Amino acid sequence: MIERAGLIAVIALGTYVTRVVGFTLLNRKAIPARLDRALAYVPVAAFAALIVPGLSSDGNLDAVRIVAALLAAGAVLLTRQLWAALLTGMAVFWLL
Amino acid sequence: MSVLPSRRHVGQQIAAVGLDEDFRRGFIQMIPLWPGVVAFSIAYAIAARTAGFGPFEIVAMSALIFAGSAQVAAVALYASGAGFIPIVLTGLLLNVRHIFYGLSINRWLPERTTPPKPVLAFFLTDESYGVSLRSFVAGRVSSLFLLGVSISLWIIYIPATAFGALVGDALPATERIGLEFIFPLTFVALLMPMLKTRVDVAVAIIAAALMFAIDGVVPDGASIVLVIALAATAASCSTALTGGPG
Repeated sequence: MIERAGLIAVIALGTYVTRVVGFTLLNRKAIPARLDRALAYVPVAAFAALIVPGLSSDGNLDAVRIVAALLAAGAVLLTRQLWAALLTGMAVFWLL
Repeated sequence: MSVLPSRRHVGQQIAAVGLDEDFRRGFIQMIPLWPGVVAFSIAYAIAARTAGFGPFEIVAMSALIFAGSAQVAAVALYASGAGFIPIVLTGLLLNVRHIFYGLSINRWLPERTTPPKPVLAFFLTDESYGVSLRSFVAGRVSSLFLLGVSISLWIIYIPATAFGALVGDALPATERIGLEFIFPLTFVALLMPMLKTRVDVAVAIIAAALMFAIDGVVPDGASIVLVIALAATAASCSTALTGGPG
C-alpha cells in the first residue's frame, strides 16, 4: 500500500513537471527564432503521429480503420466540425 | 491573430461574461470525446484492479496523474513485478511529449493568463492541446477556452474511472465496442484543417511515415517525441532555406 501510494505520488509529480516546463521554462520573447519556427510545426507533426498507432489492430494496419479515418477527414473538411468527423468515422468503423 | 488585441480589450472590459463564454465553449467542444474517455477509463480501471490496485488508488491516479498511457503502463508494469524506478521512468518517458505541447501552446498565450500557467499546465493532454490549438489557430486565443477543454476531460475521466473500478468486472469487454477509435479520429479531425501549405502536408506525411516505421521498435513515448522533434526540425530548416512562412 505504501509503495503504491508513493508510486502514484512520484509519477503524478513527474508528469506535472513534463507539463509545466514548456509553459514556464522559456520566456516567450527569449525563444530563439529557429526554435520558434520549429515549434510552429509541432501540432501538425504531433497530430499526424498520434493518428498512426490507432490505425492498427493487433499490430497490423487495419483497412477498416484507414477507410473510416479517410472518411472522417473528408467529413471535417466539409463541415469543419469535430463531432461530424467522429460521428462519420465511428459509423463507418462500426458498419464495415 | 489580428483579432487578438481587440478581443483581449473587450475581454478586459466585460470581464467575467466573455470569459465564462470561452470556458463553456471549450467544455462543450470536448463532449463528443466523452464516450472514448469512458471506454478507456473502464479498460484502465479493470487492468488496475487485476494488477492489485484498490478503487481509491485507481481513482487517485486518474485525478492526479491524468495521463492514460502512463497509468496503463504503470499498473501493467506493477503487475509484472517491475521495480519502483523502472515504472517511474517509463511513466516519465510516456509523458515527455507534454514538453513540446507546453512550448507550442505557450507561443499563443500572453505572459499572464487566467488561470495562471501552472494551473493550466496540470490539465495538459494530447486532446486538450489539440482542440485548444485548433481554436487558437482559427483566431480565438483564450486561456479559459483551454481550461474549459481540460476540465471537460478531467471531470468525466474521474467518475468514469470510479465506475470502472467498482463495477468494471461485471461489464462486457469495452475494447470490443471500439469506442477508443474516437481518439485517432480526433487527431484526424484536428490535423486536416491545419494542412494549409505544402510544407504542412510534407511534415504530416513525414511524421506519419516515421511513426509507422518506429512505432513498436522504439519504446512508446520515445517514438512520438522523436517524430515531433525530427519532423518539426526538418520543416523549420526547409522554411529557413526557402524563406517560406514559419
